[in-house]
Amino acid sequence: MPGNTKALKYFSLIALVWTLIVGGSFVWNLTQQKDSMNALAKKDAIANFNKDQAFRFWASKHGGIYVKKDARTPSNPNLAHIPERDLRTPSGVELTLMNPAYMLRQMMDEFPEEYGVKGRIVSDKALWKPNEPDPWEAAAIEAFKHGSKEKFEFTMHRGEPYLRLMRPMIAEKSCLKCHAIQGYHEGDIRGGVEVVVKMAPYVENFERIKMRLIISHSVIFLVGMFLIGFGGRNFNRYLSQLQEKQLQAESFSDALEIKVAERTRDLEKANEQLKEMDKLKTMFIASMSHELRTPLNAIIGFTGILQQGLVGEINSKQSEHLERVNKAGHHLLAMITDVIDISKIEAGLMDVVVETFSLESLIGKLLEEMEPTAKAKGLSLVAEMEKDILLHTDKRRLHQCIRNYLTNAVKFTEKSGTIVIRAEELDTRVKIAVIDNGIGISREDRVKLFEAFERLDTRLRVKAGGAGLGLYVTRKIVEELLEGNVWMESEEESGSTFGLTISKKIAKKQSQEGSKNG
Amino acid sequence: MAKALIIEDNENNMELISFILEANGYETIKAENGLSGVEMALSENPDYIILDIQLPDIDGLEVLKRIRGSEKGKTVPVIAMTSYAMSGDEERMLSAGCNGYIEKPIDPERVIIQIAEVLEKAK
Repeated sequence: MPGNTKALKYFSLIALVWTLIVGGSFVWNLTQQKDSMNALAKKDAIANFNKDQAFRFWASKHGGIYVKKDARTPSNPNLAHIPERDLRTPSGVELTLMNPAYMLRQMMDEFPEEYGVKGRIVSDKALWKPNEPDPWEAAAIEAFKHGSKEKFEFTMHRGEPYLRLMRPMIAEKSCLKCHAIQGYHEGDIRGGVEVVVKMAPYVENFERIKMRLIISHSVIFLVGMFLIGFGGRNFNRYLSQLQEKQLQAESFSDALEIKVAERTRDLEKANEQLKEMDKLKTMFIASMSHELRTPLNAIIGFTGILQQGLVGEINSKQSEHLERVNKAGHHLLAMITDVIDISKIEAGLMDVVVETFSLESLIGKLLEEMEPTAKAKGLSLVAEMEKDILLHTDKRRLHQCIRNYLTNAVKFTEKSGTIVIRAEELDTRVKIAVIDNGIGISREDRVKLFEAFERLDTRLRVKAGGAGLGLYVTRKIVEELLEGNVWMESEEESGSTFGLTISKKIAKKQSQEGSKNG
Repeated sequence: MAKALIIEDNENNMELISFILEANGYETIKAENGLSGVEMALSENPDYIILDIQLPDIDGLEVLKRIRGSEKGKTVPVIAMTSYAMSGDEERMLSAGCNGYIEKPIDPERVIIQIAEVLEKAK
């Protein structure tokens, strides 16, 4: 898996960094140890140097020392010019003067092992052959003459490491007793004093430390690498699990997508079917509207002709029966119209025809239409409005609504009652109320008034001839087409007020399909 | 005797309206579909036309447009028959040059008065 390769690279990088850190630490520690070893060796060298100098200066200050002359300590031929070079004690012991260089050389020759450090005096004008400088020393003396104060170096000699420290030897007053003969003056560089420190013991110590460093660093390194490897392996395993889960999630998501697509297709199909059904419904409504009405038109029309006597004289009983057929036809037609109106409003198919008209003339027309029925019941119809109001709305639908109210009022008001239709302008709205002093409506019944097929108590049921759709149709028209609301107030036994409050001006709404069927 | 052309596909309605008109002294000629209605409107010189909106071939609005589109049919009064519930029809018909409308169901008493009023206005 590609993720694992990546992780491997990542952990290899960590391992590399770890190697560099541990390696760096090792090198740094080793360097530190080496430096401290050298510093220690140098310190020892300087200490020995100073001790040799002290011997020398002490001897020089005393103008050399006298020692018993023997085979190993003969008179120094270089001191021949010194008076009293050789002395004889009163008891006959032969003494000879040893100068500092001679003294030191003998000490070094005789007790080298005790010091482990070899001291040496060299000069480019050595009076004694062994004090002549080797090339390293000659270079140092040359450097001293040019102002250098010290030459210090770790070198190899016969396969063994040594530290060589050399400082200049400057001619002092005490030196000139013996060395003035060579032409030195005070302050001249006469040569150098050197100590040679055998590095073997230090190196041995260093090697021990080095070994310890190797062991400790190896342990640290290996532990680190183990942890990295272990971590990497676990991480890899974790990563694999993660990738596996991701794959599962992806496949799940794929499956989900397929499912969603399937469902969407199903929904689209269902939607298409719904649209088809909706279309059928629309066609059904349009068709019913026409088909149901047409036979009724014939029934109403022909009974009307017969009643009118256009075909010939009819007797009063025949006339009465024809009247019943005619009325029943009208009733049925009204119910069909209501049902179709409701279907159309609910299907959003009702056309709104907006026109500007006078409310006064609309009310006048309504009163005129209702007059015969009202008169027959001995009811008086009264319009109350302060001034005419111009409306910009669907005239026919408003007519239908008020007419529904009026029809109810006439139906439920006893003989010699009064029905008032009152219109009132309220800013951008108009309030139209139909007030009767009829039987009123009980509180329980009021809530159901504007619902479909609600027939109220038996009292009303007897009198009401309709299907109980009139108020429902009115509410639907007012709320959904005329931008208004319906309301009612009533006192039982003392009449009711049915009202509607609508916008004076409505925006023209066009339904999906114009109704051309009639 | 004024001559009325009735364009109506429904047999009952045709009988009803023609009977009422004839009973009231009008002469009638009948067309049972839109196309023959247009043809008769232009060839028979009716004094006025009663036009149903719902027709089997071309609807009333189309019939009206064709009649008004011809030189001969420019001025003949046309009265449309509409159903109460079908709002919108009247406005469309009136704006297309219809002179008036009568509502179905037809009231035999009122229809004659309505026709007379429309014809009076169209003069």
